[in-house]
Amino acid sequence: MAIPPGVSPADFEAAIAEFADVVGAEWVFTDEDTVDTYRDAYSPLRGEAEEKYASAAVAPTTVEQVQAIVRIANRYSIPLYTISTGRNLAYGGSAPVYSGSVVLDLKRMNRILDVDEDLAYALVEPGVSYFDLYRYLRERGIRLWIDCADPGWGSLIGNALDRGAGRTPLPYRDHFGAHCGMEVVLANGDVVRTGMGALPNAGANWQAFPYGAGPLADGLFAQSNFGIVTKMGFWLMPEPEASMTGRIRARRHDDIIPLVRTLAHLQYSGIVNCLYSLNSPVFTGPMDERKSALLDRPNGGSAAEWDDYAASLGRHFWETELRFYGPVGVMQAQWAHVKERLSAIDGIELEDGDVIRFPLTDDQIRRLGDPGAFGVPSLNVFSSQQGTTGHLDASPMLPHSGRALLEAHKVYLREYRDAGLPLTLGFAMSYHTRAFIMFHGVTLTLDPEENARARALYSRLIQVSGEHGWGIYRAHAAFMDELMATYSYNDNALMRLNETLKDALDPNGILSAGRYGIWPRHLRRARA
Amino acid sequence: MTHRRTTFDGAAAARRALAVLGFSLALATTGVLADPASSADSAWLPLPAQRDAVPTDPLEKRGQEVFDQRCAACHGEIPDDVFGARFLPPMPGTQALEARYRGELPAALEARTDLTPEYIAAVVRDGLRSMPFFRPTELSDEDLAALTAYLTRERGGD
Repeated sequence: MAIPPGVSPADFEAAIAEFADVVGAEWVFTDEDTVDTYRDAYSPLRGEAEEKYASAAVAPTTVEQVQAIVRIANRYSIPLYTISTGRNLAYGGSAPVYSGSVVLDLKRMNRILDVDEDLAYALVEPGVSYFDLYRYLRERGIRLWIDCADPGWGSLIGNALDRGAGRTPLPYRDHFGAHCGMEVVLANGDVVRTGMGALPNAGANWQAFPYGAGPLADGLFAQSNFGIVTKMGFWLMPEPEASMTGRIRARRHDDIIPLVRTLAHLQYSGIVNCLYSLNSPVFTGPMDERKSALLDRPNGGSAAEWDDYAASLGRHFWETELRFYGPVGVMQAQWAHVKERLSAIDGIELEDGDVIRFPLTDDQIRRLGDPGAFGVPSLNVFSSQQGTTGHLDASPMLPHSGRALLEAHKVYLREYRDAGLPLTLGFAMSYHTRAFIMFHGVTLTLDPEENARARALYSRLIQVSGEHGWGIYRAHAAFMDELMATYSYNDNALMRLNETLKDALDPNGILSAGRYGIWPRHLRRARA
Repeated sequence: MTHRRTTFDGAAAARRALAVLGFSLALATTGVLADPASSADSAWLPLPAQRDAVPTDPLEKRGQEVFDQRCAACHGEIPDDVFGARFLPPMPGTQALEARYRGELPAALEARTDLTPEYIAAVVRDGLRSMPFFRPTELSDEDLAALTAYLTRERGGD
């Protein structure tokens, strides 16, 4: 049996026996085969000495069991690592950041506690997946949509706490932003409810008003290790009458500047509210000698030089598709206004798309080409990595600025070229209210040498993003220290604050050591 | 903490397969199905599966349910046509096996007759290429035994 570092075999054995008293022996896993199923299926360190392993896993079903487990962990100084469904693939999955931790697997806490159709919210436990909640609503004929992470087997709570996002309108697609109210087990076993939930008789108000009174604690429990979230409320969108699309294509390099400026203001005005993806068939197309030479020109090549290159390929420079949700007449008016505003861009192509009406029939749902756009969970995202053994996601944040997008495309193209790896994804998506996520994939294999190159590229992407102020918003577990080191303003004041909080809330350092670079005092290394 | 095995471990797979077979025998003789980590309420499908033919053997019937709940979202039949705009292809598992076998073997797992319990158990618990592995809190050993019984059942010729 593997043992956490610094824990005596006798203490570990005693702790495991006490965990078994709490959850039942069948839900404490110490045999190597089962503990191996808590590895990171997409580890960039696969098969290498630094790969992270759990020592054991424990799977409770109630808040009281979670409280009992943290009290035992404190008594024996056992490092725990909490997962919801453990399906955060490309970001570390179910494996701990600190090797030897005992995984606290909350998958069996899978109750949908409350759905209020009038107030349009759901209150769920960490093991509830997007599929679970979708089916619950559909089977009961509740005309509310969920917003899914791309892999539908993920946890609503886990994804929101890692600040994931989906593909329906705002505010719903920003999963942390669309939550309202949390219940958290602290490291000392205390149970806290945030916002209105601290009122003993809050009732539905817990999921109606996020702030309550006093400091808003919720942010402390996302991308951190200050507590174990055992309940979260989420706002749900009433099913719209219909959805329709409109396609946009712009010919020239610099067209992105007025295009983004206009789309941003339409978004800030509530006229455009969809997730849209700005793609450049020129930038994301295959690398060739001419393109490579352009990237090495002063400022990464002029607009005229790039326009010549695009013309030689016969490609337009930019494309996107907007989606509207609502009554048909309203959507048609929104799209007409968008077309009017964008027609100022010379040569822009604006094409009407199809209208889809809701509710969908079972047959339509089974054949949906883009389920995520309608809040229908699927696993189709795994089609994007055929022939690989997984990938990492590097996701820098950019302001809604066409000039920033132009610069970022050239910077990241150079990084991939210099690493000798093909650009993967590389488009900007409007997941959030005021910023783009510019998605980059880094492909993993079974070959340690290739994975070493992938890791080197990922490190470079973190560094370069930080240097440009485009900091990555979420990193794979193996890179959390590197990522957080880029958020270094005023001699790492933010991390010093995080460490102060960590020491106060979790003095024995039992919760998810190392998550987002936050280490308990006894494992902290001196910063360079 | 020491570094442990990372590639396919034949001994571990054999241990696992024996455990699965043990469960199969136990379940086949008692006909009792344990409380599943996989259930209709936790299925990885947006809608209940539609089945024309259901096995009569209770273990194989349960295996078919487990397939629907845990496998079908990736390894189901590719729909003939899609509704609405297409974003990513459906059925990534079936697509991957189609690309791999190029017609030498069926791409849909339920059409395969060459699978063994050992192989299925190894892939489910160890993963394969971009398919991740599954834990007992998601798919219990009992349900894995039912799944292997279903995918390796005797089938009449057509």
